[in-house]
Parts: sequence; C-alpha cells; structure tokens
Amino acid sequence: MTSKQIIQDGLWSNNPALVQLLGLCPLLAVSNTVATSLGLGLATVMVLGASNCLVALIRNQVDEATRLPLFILIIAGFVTCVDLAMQAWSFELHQRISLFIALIVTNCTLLGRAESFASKNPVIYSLLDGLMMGTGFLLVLLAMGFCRELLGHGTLFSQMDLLFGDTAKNWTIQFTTDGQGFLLAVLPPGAFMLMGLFLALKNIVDERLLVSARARDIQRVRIDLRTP
Amino acid sequence: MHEHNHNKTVLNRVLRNAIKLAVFSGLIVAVVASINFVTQDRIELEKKQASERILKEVAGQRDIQLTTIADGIYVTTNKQGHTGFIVPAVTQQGYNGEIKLLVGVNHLGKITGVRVVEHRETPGLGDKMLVRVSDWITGFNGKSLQNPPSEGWQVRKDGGEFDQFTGATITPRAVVQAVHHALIKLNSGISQEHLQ
Repeated sequence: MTSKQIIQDGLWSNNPALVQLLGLCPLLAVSNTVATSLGLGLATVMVLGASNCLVALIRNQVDEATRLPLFILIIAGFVTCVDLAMQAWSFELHQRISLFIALIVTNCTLLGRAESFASKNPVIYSLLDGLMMGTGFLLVLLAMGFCRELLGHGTLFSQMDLLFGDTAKNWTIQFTTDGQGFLLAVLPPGAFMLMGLFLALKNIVDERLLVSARARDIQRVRIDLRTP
Repeated sequence: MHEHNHNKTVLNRVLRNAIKLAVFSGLIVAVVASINFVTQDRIELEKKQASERILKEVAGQRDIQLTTIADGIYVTTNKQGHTGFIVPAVTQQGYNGEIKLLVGVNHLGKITGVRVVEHRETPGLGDKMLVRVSDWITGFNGKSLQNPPSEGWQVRKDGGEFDQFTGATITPRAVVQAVHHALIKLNSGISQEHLQ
C-alpha cells in the first residue's frame, strides 16, 4: 500500500460516497447548500483523520472481542469534541446541522475505515487514509451542495458567514432575481436523483479511462512487435 | 487439571480486556471532559447571546428591560416606560413537526416583531419564514388584532392579507394562525392583569 494508492482510493477509486455508498444519510440531508456541505464535510474529515490515527495507535493492544466497542468509543469521543468545539466557535452553523454532527458517529465510513484500514496499518498511513477518505466524502458533498444550491435556490455560496464570519457575508452569488429555483433540487428525492447522476457520471469516466488505458496497451504491444 | 488451566486463561483474557476497555474509556472521557471544560463558558455565552438577540429583535428595540412572568411570557419595558409583551407561540400545523415562535407586542397591542425559534420545515422552502432567508416575517410588524380584522389573518390564498411562499402554503398558513392565536390569547388573558 503506497501513499499514492491511498490518496487515489480515498478520492476516486474507493470513494466512500460514490463507490462504498456509505454515509448517504448525511450526504443527502445536509447537501442543501455549499455552506452546510462544507461544514459537515470538514467535521467529517477531522473526525475521520483523528479516529483513524488513534485506532492505528492502539491497534496492537486491542483484542478481537473488544475492538468494535473501542472503535465506536473513540469515534463517539471525537464527534463529541467536534460538536462542542463547533458550538463554541461556530454557533449558528451548529444550530443548523447539529443533528448531523451527532450522526457522524453512525456514518459507516468511520467505523469501516477503522476496521478495514486503521486496525491493520501504521499510524501515518492510517492518518493519510482517514484524511483522504474524508476529503473524498467532502468533495462529493460539495459537488452535491453546489448543484443543489444553484438549481434549488438560484444562488451559490450563500450564508458562508456561518463558517467564515462576517467577511463572508457578501460572497453570495445570486443567479435568479426572486430567489426561486427548481424545487425538486431542494428536496431529498432530488438529492437522491442527483446522487444517481453522479454515480453514473463516475462510471462513464471510469469506463473511458479503461478504454484509453487499453488503447495505450495495444499501442505498446504494436511497438514491441515492430522492434524485434 | 487441563480444564482448570484453560478456564484460568479465559478468565485472564476477559479480565485483561475489561481493564483495557476501562482504561481507554477513562482516557476518552478525560479528553471529552477537558474539551467540555475549555468550551463550556463560550457555549453558555453564545446561547445566552442568541436568546437575547432574538428577544430584542422581537421587542423591536435594543434598550428594553425584560421581566419573566408565567409560561415563558416576558413583560418588556422600554425607555419611555411603555410596557409590552413577548409571548411564545407554538403550532403543529406546519409541514413537519412543531414551529415555535416568539411574538412581541407593544403597549398599543401592535406587533413589534415575530421570530422563529425552532422549526423542522423543509430547508429552501418552508424556511423562508426565517429572517436570514427572507424578510417575509417582518410583514407582521405593526399588525394587531384590529388591523387586519379577524378574517384578514390568513394567507392570501385563503382570502387573507399575508403572502404565502411560492410552492409552500402550509408553513406560512401555520405561522399566520399561530401569531393570530397568540394575539387573541394575550388579549383575553394576561394583558388585562398586567397593564393595570
């Protein structure tokens, strides 16, 4: 397992949202706007990185029988810390997405990475894996938030001040005059359909990549044949 | 003899695991407790500020004195010595769950402000009643029980005076009703006792 492979896995080929299809509940529920997506995404990256790190640190001390409760304990502990920190320094955003911060504990991506990666690999790789898996999740959240806010609200980057303070108040880009948009994009079914489109898009891209890789291989074989 | 040894090793392993689990639990609790210790004052402050901000917005004035009387009802006194009220209103007629509101009324019985305190309406649709999303809720300002009269306390779609949202009538209908009820309740009950 090289670091390049870990990065590639987290961001693309084993992306928690697009390939493992984990953490869909927060993904669909919180991706209303770019701001809320970014908030939940960053919280997930933080918890995932920290929990993977700690799980890797204690991986040689834990027994088969007690590892799952321990992992959950670690994850829940970190989530509580992030929850408290957010309440203290980003109160209004917390008011809006607090339910989903608590639900990070139940995001299977976290326990999944603890169990399948961090419990078997050294700390530094586990940290990288946590950060990359988290970022992969964050990127999908952001893409969903981007599309849904643009289609559903006709704005982009609205209410970024919840995350970045008063300076971000004028970051909003308004595309429609009346603040009205395509209703379906705001509602959960719309999020589900958009998710489906993203999955399809990823499959198309993967297929194209595969075809071009094959074409390259064939070319290489031809060159090999010509030079005996 | 062999059986005895076996039992002993199992017992040892269970004991070892239990101790480890206890130690790790203790560690995690210690971390959470220390973060709690660091953040608790700030969280308390933020909560207090948030509720004060809402009360002042609802009262429509910064310089007011608040006194709590029964059931979360506040009596407000402004600089001129006028007494008003802030009353809570709850409705279940929304799209999803309860909508909790605060309604501020001045000494003339006119609304000084209405704010949503808690809701679970659809984001992007029902949340236009939030002041950071749209200024719809400021449309209540200056209204009273007489203005508009009772039949006007409805959304336009039902023949009343208040706008509904495009694509969402249920939420504004519920809010308009709740505010109206709060005014009626205030008029029939507490105001008489306390304005004397």
